[in-house]
Formats: sequence, structure tokens, C-alpha cells
Amino acid sequence: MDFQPTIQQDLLRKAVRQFAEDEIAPLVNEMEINDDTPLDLVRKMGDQGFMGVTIPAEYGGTGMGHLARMIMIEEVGRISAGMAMALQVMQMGAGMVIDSGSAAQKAKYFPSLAQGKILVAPAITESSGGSDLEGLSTRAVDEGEYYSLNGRKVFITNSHISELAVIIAKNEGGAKRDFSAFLIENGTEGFRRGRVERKIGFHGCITGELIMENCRIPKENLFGDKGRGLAVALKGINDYGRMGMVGIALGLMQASLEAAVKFARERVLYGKPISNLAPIQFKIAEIYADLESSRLLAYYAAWLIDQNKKSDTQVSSAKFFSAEAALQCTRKAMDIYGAYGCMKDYPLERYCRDAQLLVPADGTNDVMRIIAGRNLAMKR
Amino acid sequence: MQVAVCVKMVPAPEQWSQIAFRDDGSLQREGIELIINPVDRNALEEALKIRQALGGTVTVFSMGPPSCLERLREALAMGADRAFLLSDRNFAGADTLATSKVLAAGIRKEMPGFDLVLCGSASIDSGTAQVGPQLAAHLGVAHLTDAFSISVGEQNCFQVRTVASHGYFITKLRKPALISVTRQLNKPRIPTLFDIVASCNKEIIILSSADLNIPKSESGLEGSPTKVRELFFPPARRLARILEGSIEDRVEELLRQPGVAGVLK
Ligand SMILES: Cc1cc2nc3c(=O)[nH]c(=O)nc-3n(C[C@H](O)[C@H](O)[C@H](O)COP(=O)(O)OP(=O)(O)OC[C@H]3O[C@@H](n4cnc5c(N)ncnc54)[C@H](O)[C@@H]3O)c2cc1C
Ligand SMILES: Cc1cc2nc3c(=O)[nH]c(=O)nc-3n(C[C@H](O)[C@H](O)[C@H](O)COP(=O)(O)OP(=O)(O)OC[C@H]3O[C@@H](n4cnc5c(N)ncnc54)[C@H](O)[C@@H]3O)c2cc1C
Repeated sequence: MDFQPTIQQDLLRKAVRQFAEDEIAPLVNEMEINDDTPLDLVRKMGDQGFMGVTIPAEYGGTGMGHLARMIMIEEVGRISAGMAMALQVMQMGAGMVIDSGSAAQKAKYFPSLAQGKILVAPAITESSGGSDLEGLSTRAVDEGEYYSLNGRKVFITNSHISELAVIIAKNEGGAKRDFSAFLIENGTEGFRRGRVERKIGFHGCITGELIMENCRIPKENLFGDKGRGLAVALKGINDYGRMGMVGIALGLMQASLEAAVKFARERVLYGKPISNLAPIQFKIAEIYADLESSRLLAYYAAWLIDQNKKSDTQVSSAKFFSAEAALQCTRKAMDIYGAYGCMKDYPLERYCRDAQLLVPADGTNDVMRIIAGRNLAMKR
Repeated sequence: MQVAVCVKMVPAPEQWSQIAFRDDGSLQREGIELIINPVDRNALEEALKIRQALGGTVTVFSMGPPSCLERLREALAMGADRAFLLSDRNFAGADTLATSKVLAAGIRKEMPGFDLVLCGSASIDSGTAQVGPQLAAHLGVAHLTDAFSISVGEQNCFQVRTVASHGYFITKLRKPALISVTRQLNKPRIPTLFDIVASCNKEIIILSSADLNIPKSESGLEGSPTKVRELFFPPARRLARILEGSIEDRVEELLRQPGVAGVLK
């Protein structure tokens, strides 16, 4: 077992960290206030190759893989969880087209997708409940020459800045799990953007609605095989979506650890820095232990995906474990700051708000436990 | 344009508190993470810009232990074409004279037809700012220090702006030449993912004292006339003077103080 990162991974971490500190950090305040995605920044990330980290070279990416992606999201999340969320879903969209798109679809949208010049929003969730996939009510009707879609998708990341969406819809008249996925281009008749949500965190990352009203979708825009919609969605959610949330959790914990150590060394009480106080040291040790155990599980799960091995138990476990760890770590770091932690002048309150969003996004922690628990406990 | 860039690997500032001094005045820095001396990235960036504008090659030279290899990879990821690590047990403990001799030997051997050598103005660890000028002397070329702007003019000339105490100098320099640069010169690029992947296919060549034909007596500790006698923290002396009188008097008095004009510029 070798814990030494490869030279590539090491260079990647340094480059992304520098990019995040130089290019993202100065925009965080503005993102907190305006809650808009800075498109200039998106373009710069595209130029750096961020959206193509898992995309094979022949499609315009670098094929560095999922472990590299984990490191990248972690480093972006250390500076801005919101931007890390926007980025991870951009990568998910492009990755889904590689994994499930037809040759013609790949030829049409790459290399632009790998360069972040066009963005895809994966849209599964509806107001009927994200956990209950069979309850989705968006309907696709095969009209012979085209598909007609009706429905409303909610909580869709990058909804208002993406040029494409992958929509999961129930095949009209089909069985309970008979879903298909469709690629919809912006500007398609009957397709529009709805409201933009106002979230407590992940500011700088847009979450909103996508609405289909008698939306006519050309036949060639069926995405993956007919009836395979749920499989298409779940592969994207497992390999990219959930792992992305894990990466953001790592970034938030890393940021919390650094902030906690810095403040503990600087804050003087009773004539000495509070880093001398055992309860402060305990909290810092706990943050560290949470961070490193989440990181090990995360890297292992990412490695499994890179090896094309079954990973859903590890990915689901990493998701709920790291999300809950991040909730606790951000809180502990905030506690160490005393009243300063509750002030908007310090990033601690932002970390706490961001951490809460890790719980529902890409499958709630309860659902993560169900997946891992079922895999582990039940006979297969 | 054939450009050589000298890059020194220095201990990461975050870890300076872990550096210990040995009795002989040298630094105990095993296990300390190395980074590229920050201003050397500006030198490399400038070389890459020149290559972008005029074509040619960019070659990086570094003298240091094998642990510098990984950081040299970073220079390749930024876009350098080739990298040479000048590394040998005999090179250890070098002062600026021995360092610049080894660098000169490396450049002469691998890049005899160089047009320009770029160095940082000073390292952040020992910071003598002498290696650049000494290297120019060994190579027998003209040099300028502390450049904050370089343009390549006609007739094989560089037009260079260098820092001066109350302004700047503009100097024309005929090639081949050596220029040491400041951090104001440019903003070093961050390697893209494509650059990072490509850098892993580039070769880093290690040159030993035998490759460079440098006798032991002229390199490293043996070839270093500088001996560190004592290390100490200079006492920090702050000079505070309270000016009195009316605001006008005080301002006038203030402006009469040596050095103040430059500060308030
Ligand atoms: C920031 C953010 C970004 C998002 N981006 C996207 C996106 O890009 N695309 C997209 O399609 N969706 C997106 N979502 C939606 C997300 O996938 C859903 O929020 C998630 O699937 C949960 O659905 P829900 O919120 O409707 O909760 P519900 O499914 O309504 O769950 C309500 C509660 O019931 C619990 N529960 C559910 N099932 C069970 C069970 N079987 N046993 C026990 N308890 C259960 C849940 O854990 C939860 O506590 C995003 C969400 C967030 C917060
Ligand atoms: C505590 C201590 C005190 C010292 N005092 C002295 C002293 O008084 N006199 C003395 O001569 N030496 C001294 N040295 C040795 C000095 O650190 C070395 O000579 C060093 O290799 C080069 O000097 P510098 O770091 O000052 O480089 P600088 O001259 O400050 O560096 C300028 C530029 O030269 C280039 N460069 C420098 N070193 C290298 C390298 N190894 N490889 C590639 N490019 C390089 C870089 O472009 C750099 O930006 C001292 C060392 C220590 C540890």
C-alpha cells in the first residue's frame, strides 16, 4: 500500500490550490452577496482543463481520473464550497455524456464539454421527492417522429447557466421502473428555466428549476438506451455526484482545520495562546481525525471507480460519513472562534451553512445508509 | 531565442520554523518541503513569454540535491522544454561562488548558444542576490539586476527596466546577456491539467561533477571561500521620532527626513 501521491496528483493539487487562492478566493465575498456564478471564472476553469479531468484525451480532456478529480474538488472546496459544487456538477454532466452518450452525441458536444464551453445539468429530482425515484412524474411520450416531455425538475444545479440538460422521464405506459434519459438543448421548444432557489449556502452556485411543457425532443436526443434512464442517472450520481459532495466535505474540513489552528495560535487568553488549552487541542485533534478518515475512504472509493470496480457501498459510506464529519468539524472550528465564529467577517459561519447542504444533495444521508447497509447486510 | 532559466529550490516558508542550524552554520533542512524560489517563477514566466513571442527554447537549470527533481517537474509543467538538475555530493555546501561556477558549467555544456540567462533577483532563503551577477561573470556576458520589464528590441538587444531608488533605469543590453528579475515583472502562470500531463513525458537530466568536469576543489564546501562564522538574529531596532509643532511644520520636517520622499512617492 502506497500513500505517496503520484507526481501528477501532486502537481495537480498544487496547481488547483494556487488557482483557487489566486482566482476564486477574491470572488468569494461577491458570490456570498450576489449568489451568482461568475462565468468568467467558469471560463478560466475550463481553460485550466478542470472540466475535463476525467474525460479521455481523445475527447479533449486529460483522463487523469476520479482520484485526481477528488483532489481537485477538495482544493476548490477549501476556498469555496459553492464553486466546488458548480464545478463538480459540470464534471458530472460531461462525464455522463462520456459514460452514456451515443457516438454521435459525443462527437457533437466534445471537446467543448471537456473545455467547459458548454455545460450539462443533470436533472433527476422533482418536487415529489428526490429519494423516491419511482415517484417521478415527468412523462415522455413517443410521438413517432419525436418525444414529447412534460414535467418540472427542481433543485437542479447550474440550471440557469447550462446549455444542455439530461432529463430523466417516465416512459408513458411503461412499467414502474421504465424511465429514459434525454438530452435537451437550451432553446428547444417547450423547454424553459423556472425559479432560482435561495439557498442557505453554496452561494455562487445556482440551483433552480427546469420545466418541460409539451417539449419536443428529437429522437436522436434519447440519452442511453430506452428504458435505461435510472441506470444512466445512478451511474452519474454514484461516480460523480456523490463523490463530488465528498470532495466538498473534505475541502470544508481542511479549511476548518486550518482556520481552527490559526485562530488557536493567535488568540491569547490568560496570557497564552488558547492552543495551549487541552479542550481546544481536543477539538483540533477531532477535526483532524474526521478529515483524515473521510479522506482515506474518499480516496479509496475514487480509486475503485478508477479501477472500474464496484464502488456503491464505499461511495455511499463516504458520502454520509464525510457529510456528517463536515457538519461537526465546521461547528467545532466555529466554537473555537468564540463570538468571532458567529461574525460574518470570518468564514466559519459560511462553512457551517455550506456543510448542511452536503446532507441532502445527491442522495440524503439516510438513503446513503440504506444503500451501504443493504449491500452489506443482505444476501446478494 | 534560446533562454536558460536558473531556478533554486528553497524550503517552503510555512515550514521555516522546523529548520535547524548545524554547528558549521549550514542548514539542517532534511524533510522540509521544497518550493521553487518564488521570483524564479517570474524568471521562468518571462522566458516562456519570450518563447511565445519569438520562438526558441526554454531550459531550466537548478543546482541542488535529488529531492529537487519533483519541483523541477513543476517548472516543466509551467512549460519549460528541458530541465537539468546539477546534482552531486561534491556540490553540497556551496557558497555563491561555487554555485555560480557549477551553473555556468551546466549552461556552457548544455546550452552553449544561449541568448539570454534569467535568474531571480534573490533567493528567499539566503538571499545574497549574488549568484546572477557571478554567473554572468563566469559566462563572460553583460548583466542587469532587478529587472521589472524586459522587451526584446531590434538588433539583438534587450530593452530592460530595472529598479532604482527614486525611479528606474532603462538600459539596452546586447545579447547574449544575463538578467535577474523581480516579482513585479509578471504574474507566473498556473500549469493547466494538459501541461501537467505533458510534463510527465518530459525528461529531467541529472548532471554530476564528472559530467560537468568540475574538480572537487572548485565546487561545494571545498570550493567555497565563504565560511559562515556566526549566525544570529539582528536586533530589531525601531527608530521612532515624534514630530512636534503645527501640522504644516510637521509635514515639512517629515519631508526633510532622508528616504521619506521615496516612501511617500
Ligand atoms: C445543493 C443541492 C443541489 C442539488 N442538485 C441537484 C441536481 O443537480 N440535480 C438533481 O436532480 N437534483 C439535485 N438536488 C436534489 C437532491 O438530489 C435531492 O435533494 C435529494 O435526492 C433528496 O430529495 P428531497 O430533497 O426531495 O428529500 P426527500 O426525498 O423528500 O427526503 C425527505 C426526508 O426523508 C428521508 N428519507 C427518504 N427516503 C427514506 C427512506 N427510504 N427511509 C428513511 N428516510 C428516508 C430523507 O433522508 C429526508 O430526511 C440537489 C439538492 C441540493 C440540496
Ligand atoms: C546561513 C547561511 C549563510 C550563508 N551566507 C553566505 C554568504 O555570506 N556568502 C556566500 O557566498 N554564500 C552564503 N551562503 C550560501 C548560499 O546560500 C549559497 O551560495 C546558495 O546556493 C546561493 O546563494 P543565494 O541563495 O543567496 O542565491 P541568490 O544569489 O540570492 O539567488 C539569486 C538567483 O540565483 C539563482 N540561483 C541561486 N542558487 C541557485 C541554485 N542552486 N540553482 C539554480 N539557480 C540558483 C536563482 O535564479 C536565484 O533566484 C549561506 C548559506 C547559509 C545557509
